[in-house]
Amino acid sequence: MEYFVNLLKIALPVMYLFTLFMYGLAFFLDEPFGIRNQTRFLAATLTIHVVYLLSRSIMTGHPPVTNVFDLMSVVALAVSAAYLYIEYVSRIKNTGMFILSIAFLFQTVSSALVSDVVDVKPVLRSWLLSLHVISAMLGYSALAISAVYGALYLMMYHEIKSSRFGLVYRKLPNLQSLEKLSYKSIIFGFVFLSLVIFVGYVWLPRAFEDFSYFDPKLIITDIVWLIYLFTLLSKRLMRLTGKTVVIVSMVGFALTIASMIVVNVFLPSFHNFK
Amino acid sequence: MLKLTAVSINHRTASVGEREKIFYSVEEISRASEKIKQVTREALLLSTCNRTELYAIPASHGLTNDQLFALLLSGKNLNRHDVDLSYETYEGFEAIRHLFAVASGIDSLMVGDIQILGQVKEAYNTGVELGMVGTILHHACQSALKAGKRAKSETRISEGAISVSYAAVELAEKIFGNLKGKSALLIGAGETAELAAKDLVPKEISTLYIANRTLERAENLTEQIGIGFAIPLDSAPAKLSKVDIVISSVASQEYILTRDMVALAMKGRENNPLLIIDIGVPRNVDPAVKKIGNVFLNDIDSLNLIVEKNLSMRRSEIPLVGRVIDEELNDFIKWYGSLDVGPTIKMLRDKIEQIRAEELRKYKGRLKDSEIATVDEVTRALVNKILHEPLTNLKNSGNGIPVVDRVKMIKILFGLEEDEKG
Repeated sequence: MEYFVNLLKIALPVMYLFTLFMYGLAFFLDEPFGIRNQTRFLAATLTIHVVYLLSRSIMTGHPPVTNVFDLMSVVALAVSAAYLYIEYVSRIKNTGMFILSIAFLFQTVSSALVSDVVDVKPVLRSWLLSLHVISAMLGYSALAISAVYGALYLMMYHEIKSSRFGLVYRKLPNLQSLEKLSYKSIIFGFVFLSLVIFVGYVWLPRAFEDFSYFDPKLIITDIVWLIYLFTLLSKRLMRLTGKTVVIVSMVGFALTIASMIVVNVFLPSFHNFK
Repeated sequence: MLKLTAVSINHRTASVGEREKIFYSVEEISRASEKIKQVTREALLLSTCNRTELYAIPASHGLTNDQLFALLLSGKNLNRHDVDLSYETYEGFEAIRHLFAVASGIDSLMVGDIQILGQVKEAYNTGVELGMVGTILHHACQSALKAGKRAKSETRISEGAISVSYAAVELAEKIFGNLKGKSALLIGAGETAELAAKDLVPKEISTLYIANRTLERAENLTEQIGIGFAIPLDSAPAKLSKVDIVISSVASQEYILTRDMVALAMKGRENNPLLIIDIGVPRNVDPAVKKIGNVFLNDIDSLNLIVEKNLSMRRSEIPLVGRVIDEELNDFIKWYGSLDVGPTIKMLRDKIEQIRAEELRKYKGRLKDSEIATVDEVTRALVNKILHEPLTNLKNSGNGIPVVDRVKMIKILFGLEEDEKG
């Protein structure tokens, strides 16, 4: 079993790389082989990924939600599954290379650094933890996807504004689609982020003795939630469009990442896996 | 060797004026068909604004390319001195390759022109109705249509706008996606506006305003295209907040749209994207408009750049289309080879021999060896005698039926085509 799980652990980053290569062939070179096989490669990689996480759960005896590197693999899976769904619904294939880069990066780090034997504290053996953490991963994956579509929107916006009409103009979907994809991803991410906070506030005080509502990690999460709430409301109430919404969303994501790093590295918190 | 000749008058050999003189309508093809049929066994006449081509399998050996060209001219009541043009000729399988190249758009003036496939199909249908197209040109046309469809779906030969007015539509689609329900304002009612309107209307835009100094001209254009409202030129800025696309092409010494006008309109339209295309010379729109967020100002140079890039992308696809054509041509040559008398006779003999051998095998246990030998001898002689006359007539070219038709008939009667496929 361990041998099988380790084999998949090594195979997964390679498969993501091949998938990226296929999407790259199609995007940059219009290579028919890439165009025909990019989605097939992604579906195969996703299948292997699901098998990997399931077999790893069986091997360790608990879902892969109790350490950072397992969670990175869950994020990679969530991002690529979400992308496959977006591709299926929107029929837009030319953004795969950008979105799947996140999945490749996360899975590579996860495969390289995850340890085979994980000591899990009793407090982390709760189903509420699984719900809390999985929601967080789905939420942050959606926000990451939104940020990527936001970046693509800005690229396309400047391409047309500056009348360049190069590869970006030819290959990326239209501005309206990119804006819609970015905005819908925010809604999706926001719903899961709300669930994370709700489950967190129910479970954390029961699970941790040193729980505090003023813990930096909790405060940061609340701030991030407020930023996205502001983004969603500003679109509805202040009628912000296109570029502005996209920039607010990207700033929100940048702030999320930056604050998470600061909180995790520099500030003490009860909220960790140790 | 395939005895097919193609005489082509096209954009390389004649100016547009000369091409107009030799253009055949369907009625004119119909009128000319009797004369063409007198000297050809099979023929196809393809005529578009960029080419007039006659593909012909001569009825006799003596028909020269010049005579075929003269035949084309005579159908239009022209003679050699009335026109100032030359023609290209293609012989045998090169003529087939040329037809495939035409159908797939790589021989077009605008590379990858998608209309040509429909025009080849129309020429083929006309040829069939008039009894000009026979077995060989039927197969050639079907293969040409297949090559054209494959080129369109397997390569990017017909992707991207290659006219300035369509480049404007493509640009609008890159901003708004679907143009259905969007609204447009055309400033000026000249030729450019007309072309743009004709490209925009099929996209199901909801509202179209045409602003012009002479209102009557704008009204004429709205009548001509079937939708839209004619408005005076000075009302154009007031419509900016209500439209998504503006195409301006009037002669004016002053800016028709200033930065302030557009900035004000953007407030009115809640900052939704606005595409302005300025084709006027001198420019109709203040270039400072470009600095306003969500306003996309592009000019004629931008559209030309889009067209140029698309054309160069299409040209780079020509080798890929060439590969498709080679594959289809190989299939055609193989098919044509199968029409040869020799292989057909062999196939027929093999099939009859197979039937004879199978029947003989059924009696192997029931008859003595000597009896089997006698039956073998008798049936062999019988088969040879029965086949002698049909095979002689198949080889004989003096019976007035073209060899391809004789071979085809034999193949249908004895089910040899299915055997070939199987």
